[in-house]
Amino acid sequence: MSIATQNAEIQGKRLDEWLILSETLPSGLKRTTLSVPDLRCGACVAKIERALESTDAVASARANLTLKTVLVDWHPHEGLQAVLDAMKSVGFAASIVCETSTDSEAMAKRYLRATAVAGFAAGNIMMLSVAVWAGADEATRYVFHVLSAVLAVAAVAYSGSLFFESAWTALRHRTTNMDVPISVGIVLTLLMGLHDTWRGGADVYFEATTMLIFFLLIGRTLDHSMRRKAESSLNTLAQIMPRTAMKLEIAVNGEFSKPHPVPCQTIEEGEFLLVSAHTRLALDAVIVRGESEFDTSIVDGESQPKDHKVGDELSAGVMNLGEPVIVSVIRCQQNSFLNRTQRLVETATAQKGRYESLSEQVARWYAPVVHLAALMAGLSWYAAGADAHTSISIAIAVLIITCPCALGLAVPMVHVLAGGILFRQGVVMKNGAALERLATIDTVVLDKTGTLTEKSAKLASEYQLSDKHALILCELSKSSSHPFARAIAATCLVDDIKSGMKDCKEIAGKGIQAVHEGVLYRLGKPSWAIEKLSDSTGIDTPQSRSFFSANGRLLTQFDFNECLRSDALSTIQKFADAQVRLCVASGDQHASVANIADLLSIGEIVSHASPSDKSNYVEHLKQSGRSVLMVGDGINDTVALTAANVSFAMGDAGDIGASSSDFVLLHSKLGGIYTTWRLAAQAKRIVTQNIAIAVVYNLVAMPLAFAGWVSPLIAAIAMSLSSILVVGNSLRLSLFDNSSKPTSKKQISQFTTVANLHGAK
Amino acid sequence: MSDFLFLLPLSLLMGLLALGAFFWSLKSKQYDDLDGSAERILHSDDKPIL
Repeated sequence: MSIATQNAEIQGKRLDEWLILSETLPSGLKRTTLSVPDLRCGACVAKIERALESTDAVASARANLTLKTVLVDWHPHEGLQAVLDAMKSVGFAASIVCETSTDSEAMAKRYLRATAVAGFAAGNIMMLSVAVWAGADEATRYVFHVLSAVLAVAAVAYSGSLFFESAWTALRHRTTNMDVPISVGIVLTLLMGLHDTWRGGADVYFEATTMLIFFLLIGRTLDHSMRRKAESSLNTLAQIMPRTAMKLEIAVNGEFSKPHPVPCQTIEEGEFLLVSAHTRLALDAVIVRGESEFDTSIVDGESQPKDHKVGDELSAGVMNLGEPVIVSVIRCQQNSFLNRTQRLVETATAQKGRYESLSEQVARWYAPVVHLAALMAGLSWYAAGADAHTSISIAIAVLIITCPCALGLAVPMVHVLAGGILFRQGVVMKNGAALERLATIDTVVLDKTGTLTEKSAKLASEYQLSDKHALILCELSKSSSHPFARAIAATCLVDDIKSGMKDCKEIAGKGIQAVHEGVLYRLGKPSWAIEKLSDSTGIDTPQSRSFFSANGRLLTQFDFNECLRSDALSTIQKFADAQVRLCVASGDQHASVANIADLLSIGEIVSHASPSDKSNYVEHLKQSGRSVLMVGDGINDTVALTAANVSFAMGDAGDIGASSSDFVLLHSKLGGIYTTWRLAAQAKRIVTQNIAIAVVYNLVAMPLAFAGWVSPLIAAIAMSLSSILVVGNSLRLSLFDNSSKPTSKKQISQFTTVANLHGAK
Repeated sequence: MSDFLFLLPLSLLMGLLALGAFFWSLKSKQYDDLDGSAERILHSDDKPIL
């Protein structure tokens, strides 16, 4: 199922929820941010805005093409339905954005402003400095230095505060980070420069200080903007879990009152909820009235819908496929299955220990080495008989020349470029460190249902029916949204059918039936559709089989397949060729897991796995020295996704998988995993080269500063050169060739991509 | 000497003006939708953000 249809499906169900989540403006209007994944062109912007503003319900609408959102101010008495209808009339599915991250937006703007101020100050100070270096007389030099001092103080106070805050936080927690030596360097150089300006000295390092801040902020701003872009594109994913539920009160006569929507977190244990057809259950509950069929795939990975009746326990996240049922809540949201899983995720995160990225590893030895070197330089000059001022000047020259300009750009530049390349391929990278971890993996663990296979079932073979029966079948199947009925409806060529059938109804856990010209037609479970199962049809029919009957007489039968995703085979093949160990871990039954694994020639399988089984398996692999990549989609994968060294989630899994993984495949194309893996290897090479450049630069520059040969001019040239070198090297990543190498000579048959669910029998 | 007493403040002032313009444009949400702005220029009935 595509994200768009999922959203369209959600559209109708969640109006109440959206009303609760909309912001109320002082003017009495409601403000809602709609996410529109299909907003891709300038014409769409105009079309949507025109359509929305021509309806009475909407006061104003503004589409954002970058974030794929529409900000709508609407009149509450008109209702949100009118807004959605207007969207639909121009052909766009929309869903509400719940968390507009205003914090991260404010932070992005702060970074931009800080970079602009630092750039302004650095540019102007450099202009003044060049005049001084060119040989200004003493009075002019003094004026220029004073002007530079004013600019430098402003830049350090405004832009430098970002580093000071971060350094202070680190120190307060008794740790150190890259910002500590940066802050020390900035403050010391500034103080020294101010002192020398006041004394009328010849050499001040104001341009070095501001340039350092400017370069470092460019790196930080790029890094931050990359994360924000990832965040906003993940916001367009469907939100799977409902945030409200239909609550039922018990009236005096013991009957249930009319349902009304309430937010999930306010629902207590023992309260009653109505779960209507095609909605997801929001909390763990037990059925008290009615029976129906449930799609549990996102909870336990089983591909087959399951029947549940009064007294059965249901987990939050299951989707009701049949009749409405009334349930009694057994766990409030805090203790629900989803939240318990969330806690397991937290434990897994804690056990994993924080991954130390390459830049952090470098930062760890960088600070002590540089500070010690500066101190030694100062002390040795003092010991050799230089005066205090000269000694301190030398020490500061060492600090400046070893400034981590290049180092500050070495990693973020590569990550931002990689993020951009991946984004164009439909892969969202949530943070750059994940790319480093991905480069080291040697084992891939894949979930089956919804990851290797499509979310929806497909018809296994063609069927033969008379035209009349085919029409009835089409109309019957179109009236249901059961996965099997949908698979049949997908084969219908006629869109608008009126065969004149009556009494069409869906019977939970059985099928659909209707009367046409006095004949009762049924489509559903074999035992229900025909009166007596003859020996020829066999009592032991698989669950993935449906019968179509007229008055209890079999017309035809259907078998359904789980369908491999189109690029599953080629992707697996490429990983296998690269000598990567592959495993399938699924909550589904052994036969269907083995069947899929067989098709893909994957030897290792784990079936019937609970969420913790999966993560234990991943842990076990890690303990045996493997570096594990986990690919999954549902709730039952989240713990394993977190436990693995690095993880991918499928985009059509919506927000659930995305929250616990490092990468999200927006278009659910498995091929993206292999591309990302190759890009990660390339990125790692370039990052290592960049760090090597920065280190070599320091090794050359430090002795010069130690010897006292570094003037402000030399420092400025050296800093710029090393930074340009690093940026230039990073840009090589954009030459990354996406076309995968044709390493496999094996013929990949198109026909093996369809697997019968129970083919292993 | 007397020339750049006049020119220096002028150059700094121009720089500050540019910086101010950037701050203002950032604050008035002109950088919020760069892709959209590029397309909106082609719409005949587009209304300005300000």
